[in-house]
Amino acid sequence: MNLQTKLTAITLMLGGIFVLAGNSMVRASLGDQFPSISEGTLTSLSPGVIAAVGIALLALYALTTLLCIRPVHKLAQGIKAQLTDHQYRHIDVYTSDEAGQIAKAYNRIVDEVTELRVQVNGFDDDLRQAVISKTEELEAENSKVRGIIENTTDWIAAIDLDFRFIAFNRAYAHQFKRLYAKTLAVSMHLLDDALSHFPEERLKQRELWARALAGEEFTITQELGSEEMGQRIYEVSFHPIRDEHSKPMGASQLWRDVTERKKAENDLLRAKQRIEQEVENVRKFELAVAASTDSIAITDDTGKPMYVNAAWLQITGLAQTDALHTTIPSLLSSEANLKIISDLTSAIAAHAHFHSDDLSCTRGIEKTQFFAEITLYPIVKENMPTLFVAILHDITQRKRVERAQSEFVSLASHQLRTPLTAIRLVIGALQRGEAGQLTPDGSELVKRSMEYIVNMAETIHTMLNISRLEAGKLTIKPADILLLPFLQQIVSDYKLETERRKQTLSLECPDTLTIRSDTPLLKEVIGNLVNNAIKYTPEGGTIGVTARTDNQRIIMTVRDSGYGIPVSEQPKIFTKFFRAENVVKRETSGTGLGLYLVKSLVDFLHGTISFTSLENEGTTFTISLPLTIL
Amino acid sequence: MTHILLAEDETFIGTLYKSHLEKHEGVKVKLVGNGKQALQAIDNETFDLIILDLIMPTVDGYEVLAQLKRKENKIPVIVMSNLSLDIDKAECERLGAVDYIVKADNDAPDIWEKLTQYLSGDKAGNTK
Repeated sequence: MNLQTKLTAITLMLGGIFVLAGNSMVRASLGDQFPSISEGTLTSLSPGVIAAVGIALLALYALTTLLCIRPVHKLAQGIKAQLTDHQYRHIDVYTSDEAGQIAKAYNRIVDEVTELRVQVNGFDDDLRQAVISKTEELEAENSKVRGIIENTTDWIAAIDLDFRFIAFNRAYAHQFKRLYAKTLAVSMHLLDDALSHFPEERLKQRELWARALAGEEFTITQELGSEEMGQRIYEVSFHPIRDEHSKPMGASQLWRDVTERKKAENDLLRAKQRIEQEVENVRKFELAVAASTDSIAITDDTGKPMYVNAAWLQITGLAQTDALHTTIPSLLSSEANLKIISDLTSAIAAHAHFHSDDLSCTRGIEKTQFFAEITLYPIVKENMPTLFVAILHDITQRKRVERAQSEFVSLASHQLRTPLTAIRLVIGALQRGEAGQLTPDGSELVKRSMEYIVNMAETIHTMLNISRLEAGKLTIKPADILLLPFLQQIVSDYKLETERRKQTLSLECPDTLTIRSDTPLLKEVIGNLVNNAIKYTPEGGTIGVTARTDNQRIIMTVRDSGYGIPVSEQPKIFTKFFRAENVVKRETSGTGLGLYLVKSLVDFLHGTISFTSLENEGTTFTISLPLTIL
Repeated sequence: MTHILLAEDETFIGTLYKSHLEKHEGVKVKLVGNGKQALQAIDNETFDLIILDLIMPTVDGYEVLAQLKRKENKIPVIVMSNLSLDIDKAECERLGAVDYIVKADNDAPDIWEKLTQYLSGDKAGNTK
């Protein structure tokens, strides 16, 4: 008999008992109000039998309850607890029948489950812990990333394949608002919503984003300008976003302000170009200097070379290292140059310009002599002398030619003068009657001869001066000249001549008047004018020399009461070989070189010359010279 | 008595000068033809004035001047030459010459006039 059948039987039995017992007991107490269904049966039994049956039934009931109902009830309770609140507890085993077997089996299951649960719970704890810490880690990382993205000044945004914003950072939203007056939101459509009022920008953005959405990764440069920020340059990078299967699922965009970087890059580029240009220039200069046939050295501020070119090595006969260790003064130093070297040393110390073409130097170990011209330029930077450029020329050849020329002209004039001296002495002696009294005709001839001799002597003198002036051989050696004694000397030089011609020669000059000029050249000028005045003034005439100062200049005049210069010929008087017609008739001597030389010399002395002249009344030459010649 | 040494290699010219100068009272001129003779004469005799040509054989005028300078000569030396460059004049001045006369530019009387500046007082004679 299975438990089910047993329970059913017990229940039916119990039901019958209780119905019967109950019916009679109720009927006894309430009267006979309810008709009994089996009245005939029950009323036929005696009370003792009823009692015995009742006791038997109670015993049966108790037995039934103890052996059947309770174990099943406990079993049900255990299963219910297991199902409702997952509590697995042992249940009491009351019987050894099927119910008891089930209870035992149940209890075994409970044991196993409890065992499993202990294991599972342990496993769960580890897993949970791991999951929690991983989650925390991810959250921390995420927040870090979000923090970075949010706080970066770069503008970052991402859209999906449908051009809808997936994400953007604060900077992006801010700039978007500023540029397009639009507050962004996630899922907003970039083209149809965010940029709907900016067709041009919309088109452009669509094209760019489309490339990124198609999987292209690229960067463009974009300029944005505004009044508040000025023109800014951005680097805009597009990146496709891919799912786990590498399929594009969106794209991101990053705007980075690279204005400063670009500016720095541009500055750098420009600086680089400038430096390259400079280097190129320097290289050209260096090539030019290196290849120059002029000897060039660049020295420090003490005159010690830092650079010398090939020509420098050649002219000095020094090796590169020696050349760099030989200062300019010690390089040029020799007994003949002591004064120049002393001046040069002073010039270097004073960081002054220096020039000399009068150096006699020696070259190399053989001590070959050569003449040199040195020019030293100080290079001043920010008022600080930093270096000198020295240019050295070997002028031996030039000196030789010049000397030969100079010697030739000088010797030629010497050779012409020697016979002239003899002739002059002889004619002079004849004139003075030292070889006996001359006839009037003889006397006249001798007188004319003397005029030619004087003229020739003057011509030689003038030609020598002109040749030197034209050859550039004349140099100005400035000196302070006290004019009164200077002019008195010239006047006295011509005293004999004027006395001979019964002329009056006067001088007017303040006794303190001084000029800084070249003594011999100025003497040549005034002497020539005085000589002319005497020559072209008839006997008994007057000649006057004056000097005065006027507005930082010295004005000197030479005035005569002579023949004067015809108006028609006045423009030509300073030209070479000019001789006025009116004097040619009277005075045979004269070369036409005197006034040419005077004019050239006055120009050379930075002066001007002018004249006024009236025929048969006289001429006045006026010379204006600077008070100081440099 | 004025004793003048005249160094002049052109004998004819030297003679003309000598004869002209000696026309003046008390003037005696010793004429030599080169610098070597001039130096010997200076060593052996006393002169009041020396007139020196520059271009002369054996020892030239510059050398004579240089030697006189070394000997700390006190006798005035006048250079009389037909060279007329400034450098020649400057060099003579540097070597102690008191004057420089370009011969061709001067007559004998002009020269005498210049010489008298360097002849003290009574030594300057008058024309005979």
